[in-house]
Amino acid sequence: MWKNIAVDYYRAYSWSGIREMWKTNAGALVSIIYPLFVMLFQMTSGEKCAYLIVYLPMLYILLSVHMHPVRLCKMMYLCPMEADRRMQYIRSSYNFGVALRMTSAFIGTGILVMLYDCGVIVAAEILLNDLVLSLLLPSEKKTDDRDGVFHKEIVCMIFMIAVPMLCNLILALAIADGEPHRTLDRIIFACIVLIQAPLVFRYRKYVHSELEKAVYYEEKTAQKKTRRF
Amino acid sequence: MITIDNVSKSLGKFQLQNISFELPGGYICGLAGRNGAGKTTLLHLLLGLYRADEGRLTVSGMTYEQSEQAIHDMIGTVLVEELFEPFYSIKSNAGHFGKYFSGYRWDRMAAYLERFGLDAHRRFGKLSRGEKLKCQFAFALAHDPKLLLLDEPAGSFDPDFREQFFQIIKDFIADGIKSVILATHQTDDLDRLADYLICLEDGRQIFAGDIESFRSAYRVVSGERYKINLLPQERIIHVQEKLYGTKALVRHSRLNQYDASLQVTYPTIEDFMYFYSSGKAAQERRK
Repeated sequence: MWKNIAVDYYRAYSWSGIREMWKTNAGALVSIIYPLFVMLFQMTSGEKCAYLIVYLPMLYILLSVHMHPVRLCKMMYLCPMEADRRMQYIRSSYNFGVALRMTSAFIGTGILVMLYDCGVIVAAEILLNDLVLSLLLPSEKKTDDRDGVFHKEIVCMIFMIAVPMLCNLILALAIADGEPHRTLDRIIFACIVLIQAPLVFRYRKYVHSELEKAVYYEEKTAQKKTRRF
Repeated sequence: MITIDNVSKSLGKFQLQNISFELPGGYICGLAGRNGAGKTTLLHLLLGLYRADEGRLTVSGMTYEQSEQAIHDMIGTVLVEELFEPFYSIKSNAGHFGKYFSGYRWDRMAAYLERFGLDAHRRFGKLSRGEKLKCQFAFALAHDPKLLLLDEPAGSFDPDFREQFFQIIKDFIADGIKSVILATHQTDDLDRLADYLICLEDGRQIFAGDIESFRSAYRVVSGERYKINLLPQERIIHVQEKLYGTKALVRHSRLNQYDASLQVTYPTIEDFMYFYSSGKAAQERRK
C-alpha cells in the first residue's frame, strides 16, 4: 500500500494538477504566491540565505498541501476496495504527506542550524510553525455559502497559515541579524502555545471529519457517519 | 444479476423516485430518457458512487454496504467524464488503476488498444474525445468484468467503430452470464440491440421491462383525428396533430382492435419517449 501511496503522491505533481488546483482553490494562489513575494521582498535587504532556508520549505509545504487533496479521484472510488481499506489508504496518504513536508522542514532547519548560530529553541519553533502548515488540508469551500453560513474551517485555516508564516518571518529576520533575543523567543513561544495550539486542536477535528468524508464519493453518505466540525 | 427494488435518491432539487427493475445475466439493458431524466444518477447508484435514500439495490445478490470490493471487481465502466489522469500515458494509467482489479491483465488491455487503433504510450490528455472513450472502453473490458455500465459512449465514436462497439457488446453477453447496461440518447441503437429497457422521465420510471413487453404494451396509431378520438381516452397517452394526419401513442393489449383505416405500428423507443413527454407537457399546460 505504501508504494501505491508514494506513487499517487508523486503523480499528483503534474501541470494538469497545478491547473486544476488554481481552478478549484483560489486560496492556493494567495497562500503560495504571497509568501513568495514576502520572501523576494525580504531578500532585497539583509542576509538573503536565512530567508531562503526558512521560506523554501514553507513554500514546498503549502504547494504540497494544495496539490494533494484528501478526496481521491473518481476512478479510485470505482476501483475494488472496501470502505475501511479506503479509509486506511486515505489516512496513510495524509500522514505520508505530512511526513514528507516535515522532512523538508527538518532539512531546511538543519541547514539553518549549521550555518547560523540560532539555537535549538529557535529551530524547534521554526519546525513547530512548519508542522502547523503541514497539517493543513486544501479547502474548496468559500467563506460563505448561499445559506450565509460562514465556514469556520476557512477562518481557522487563514490563521493557521498567517500566524506560522509571520512567526517564521520574524525568526528569519532575527536570525539574519544575529542570534534572536530571548524576549523574541518567548513571544514566539507564547504565539505557538496560546494561538496555534488551540487552532491545531480545533482543526484536528475538521481533518478527522474530512478524512472520513473522503472515504465515500458522495459526501452525503459520509456525513451520516461523521461528527460535524 | 441486478435487482433494484423501490430505490429513491434525492440530489438537491432532483429526485429519483421508486425505481424498480430486475436484469438477469446475459442481456443488454437500454437506459433511455431525456437530459436530466436521471440516467446518470441511476448509473451512479449502480456503481455505488451514490447510496440510495430508500429501497434496496443488489448486484449478483450483494449490496454495496456488505461487498463493495467484490461488486466493483465485477463492473467495467465507461462514463461521460474522463476517469484517467491526463498527464500520464494510457499504459501508465491502466497499470496504475488496473492493479486494483483481480482480473486485470496488461496483455488483454494491449490487445484491445491495438484493435481500437490506440497507442498505449500516448498521453491520455492528448487523445481526442472519441479516443478517450475507446481507451476507457478497452480498460473496462481488460479486467474481464461481469457487468458493463456504459454512459453515452457511442455518440463520440466514428461510424466504423460504432459497429465494432456493438459487436463487442453482443459478443460480451454471448455467454449468457454477463450483462450490459447502456445509457444513451441514441434510441435507434437500443431498438436494435436492447433486450431490456428502462425509460426515465424527470426522475420517474415510465417503463421497465423486457423489450418484447414494451412493444406489446404500446402502439402508434396514425390516421384521421376523429377515428383516433373514437379510441377509449384512458388508452391514449398523447395525440400529435399534423397538417396531413394525426398520430397517437396508445396503450395496447391483445384484445384491442382498431379501425381498418387506421395505420397501427410498433413504437420505437424514440416515439415512446417523444409522445410520453409531450403528453406530460400537455397535461401540465392544462393544469
